[in-house]
Amino acid sequence: MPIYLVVAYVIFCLVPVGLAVSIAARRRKAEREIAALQRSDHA
Amino acid sequence: MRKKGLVNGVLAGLSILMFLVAFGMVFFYAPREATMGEVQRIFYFHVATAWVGFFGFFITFLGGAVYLATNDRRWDILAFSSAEIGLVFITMTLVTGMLWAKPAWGTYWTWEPRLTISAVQWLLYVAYIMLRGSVLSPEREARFAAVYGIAAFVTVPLSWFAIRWWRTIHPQIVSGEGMALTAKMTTTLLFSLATFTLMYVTLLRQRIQLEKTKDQLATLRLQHEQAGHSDL
Repeated sequence: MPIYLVVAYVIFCLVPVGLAVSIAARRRKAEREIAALQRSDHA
Repeated sequence: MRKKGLVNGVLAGLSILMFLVAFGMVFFYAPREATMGEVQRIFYFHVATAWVGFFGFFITFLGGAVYLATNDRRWDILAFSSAEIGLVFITMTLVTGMLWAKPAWGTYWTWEPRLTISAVQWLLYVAYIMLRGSVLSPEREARFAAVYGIAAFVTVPLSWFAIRWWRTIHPQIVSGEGMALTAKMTTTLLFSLATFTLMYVTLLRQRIQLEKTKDQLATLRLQHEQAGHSDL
């Protein structure tokens, strides 16, 4: 199996997963900050 | 909220399943190409990522145009979200294209029309993403981004027609010049295109939801500041 093919398909597999994880992590961070703000408002 | 989560989960599951099937088709169903050999298998996902990149930039163009006409933030969110995903997929296209070019052309990169336009396109959309965070007023940022997204879209038809208008060494897939596709190869390509389109839709929905959450956070922060809280 040519190395170029292997590297290309590693990229095809990992990059979309990386993007999905990055979006989910940024959303979780924003949600945590929202929760913290709401807690401080109630306090 | 729960329904959105369920739809996201179903879309993500279906995307993964289709990706695995497409992956299997590339390696076990599509035949070995006679001239280029095994390395030709890069082509299936390379074309699919290029398609998603182009489609993503089209949605940015469309979102920008509708935003300018309506001033509705939802269209700006769509345009921005789509540009980010389009850029990631176009980056994959460029990198894997280079990996294919090395064994096929003997060089990773050459300044022929299609590749030159692709490089310019990549830089334009990187600048778009960078500019999104640099303008102070959110409304001015959205208007500027909409105009920029419309102007940058010109690179998509240019890239598409570059291999038809100018002398180029890049293979022409749709006309069949430079690569003869068998029925199994065409099926694999079409399935890969469908798979990556679904992945785009899945990622776009999640990216839009992220932007909406960020908007919610910005509103809350503003309310918090106006209420005189300074502990956060």
